[in-house]
Amino acid sequence: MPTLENPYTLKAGKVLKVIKECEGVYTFHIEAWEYALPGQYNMLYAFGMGEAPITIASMGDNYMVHTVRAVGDVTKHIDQLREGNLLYWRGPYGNVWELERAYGRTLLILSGGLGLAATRWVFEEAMKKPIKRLVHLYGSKDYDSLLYRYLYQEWSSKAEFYITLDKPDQRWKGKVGLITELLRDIDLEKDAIVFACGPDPMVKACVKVLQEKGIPLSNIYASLERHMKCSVGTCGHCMIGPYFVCKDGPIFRYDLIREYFERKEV
Amino acid sequence: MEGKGEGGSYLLEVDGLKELFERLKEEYKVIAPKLKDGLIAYSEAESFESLPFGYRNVETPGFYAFEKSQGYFSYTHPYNSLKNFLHPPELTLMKVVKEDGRLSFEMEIPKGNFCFFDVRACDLSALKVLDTVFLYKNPHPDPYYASLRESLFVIAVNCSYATSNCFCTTMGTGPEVKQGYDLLITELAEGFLVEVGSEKGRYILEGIKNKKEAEKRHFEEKKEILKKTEAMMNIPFQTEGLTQRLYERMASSYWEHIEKRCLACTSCTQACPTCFCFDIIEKNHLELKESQRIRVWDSCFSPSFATVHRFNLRQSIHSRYRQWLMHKFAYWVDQFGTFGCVGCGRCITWCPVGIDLREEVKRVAYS
Repeated sequence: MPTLENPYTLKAGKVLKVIKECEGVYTFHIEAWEYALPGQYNMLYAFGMGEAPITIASMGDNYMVHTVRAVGDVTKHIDQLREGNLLYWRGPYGNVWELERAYGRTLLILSGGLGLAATRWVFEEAMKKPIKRLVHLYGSKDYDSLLYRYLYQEWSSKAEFYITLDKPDQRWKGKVGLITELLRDIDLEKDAIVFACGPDPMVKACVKVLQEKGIPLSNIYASLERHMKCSVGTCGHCMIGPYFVCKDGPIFRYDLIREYFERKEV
Repeated sequence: MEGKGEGGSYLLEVDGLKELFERLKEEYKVIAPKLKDGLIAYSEAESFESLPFGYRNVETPGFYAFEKSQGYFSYTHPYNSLKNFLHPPELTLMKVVKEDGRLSFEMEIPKGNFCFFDVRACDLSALKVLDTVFLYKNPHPDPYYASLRESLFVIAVNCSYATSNCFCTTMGTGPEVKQGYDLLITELAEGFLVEVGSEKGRYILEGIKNKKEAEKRHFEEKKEILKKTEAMMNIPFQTEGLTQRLYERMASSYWEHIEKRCLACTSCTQACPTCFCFDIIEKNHLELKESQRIRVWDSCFSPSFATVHRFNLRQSIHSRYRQWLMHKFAYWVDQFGTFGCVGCGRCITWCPVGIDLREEVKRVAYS
């Protein structure tokens, strides 16, 4: 047998820039010339702590963008990195958003909370592609949790970008309520393509509304989050029904994943 | 390693078999069954005499013992399996060293060079399943498994006995060893029929003096023995159409019944020769200059197995049992083109409350 490439090999990338998005959430520009596509993710490593799967939020000429919320041991450690530090990682892994399907049609992007990190790159790409109408709905818990505020102006000039807050305060002048309410108010063609990423209950609720609007399940794609250890299809943690989220996903066409995704405890 | 009896078949006496064993020990790390701590266990073999000749294992749901028996290979498979050696319970993936703020990584790929002396049909099928999982249907073939498996030598043995937990006939994996061996032994009244299955097998056997050509009657006796072994096992369910039946019954209320019995102890997944799930843990030195990334067996029954943001997606025990059973008989087929169960019965023996997988499959799929 020929020598096999070791799938656990880590690469090092210099932190070029750190942006504090909000309390406990940081965006990192990591020096890298990796070939990756929107929808894919990397495993980020923290010495002595382990790894965490983090979506690639965007890509520049010589850097990739990761937005990390400090929720576990690994992410807490990564959020302490500053300019000049090294980040160790492996990837990219997973499949990509099927953007081509939206050419000449309406593309609706639904993002909930940190899910925006997983849709940002494909949203930016979609702006450059022959999409008939580009709509992006972003639901966030409150004003302080909003990500990428510095990009809203540009996004709004190039697409229909709407934000709704669940628990707003006096600083907020925009829409209030759940993303499903915002979604109900949008007129959509029945052949629209939908990309969604957010907490499981949000995705399920949005799909219900989309069905009411007559959008077939096969036009809806969702990026899922599951426990991952190896990311190369071997450790078994991310399994959902017959699928491995790490290699068959993280993006699934909804009609294929529905019976496992909507059933309790699968 | 294909072709039945390719390269000849011989009749060896005990002396010849011992000679073969010694010969293999010169070239390989020989792993063989051995009586150990009240069990027949695969472990590194010291001598030919350390094999559990004259004993057999007695297994029923939740029960294991061994008793005196006639003959040499009168037992079935050991309590552990090839998995324990090729996908060991604990394996260091790499050593990470921190120096001047930079990390360096040392990959540790262990060498195998194993010879398994005495592998039964079910376990040989399990080896094939593991090969598919780690190498052939994996987009990132695993170099650790590949290295441990490299130059593997297999001495297979046909079973002349089946315990009450054996169901290889149901899963279509036994009792007859059909492929995947270097040499295949069948114990007969007048000696041991040894069939060559590979070039490596032919080469090793060439140096054995105590042997004679096998004759037609030896193969007839082999057939009789296997027929008898087969008759010792029931066929609790049909595998044809099973996957589809299970998919259709995912919402069945049957699953909840398991909640009251299953302890989620993970015993079945550890005893299983194909359960491959693992975790990767960090083993840190106190001065925080060195850390090892270690692959350890994990289990879908563990409460932390499917956690997302510290919330376990499979809270109930019956949902974990469903995950396991569905994986073995349905998901596995979609993922790897084969069942994840080979009918060895280990999960039935080692379940502390004696849950019988065969009964559960029957209940969920056929009642």
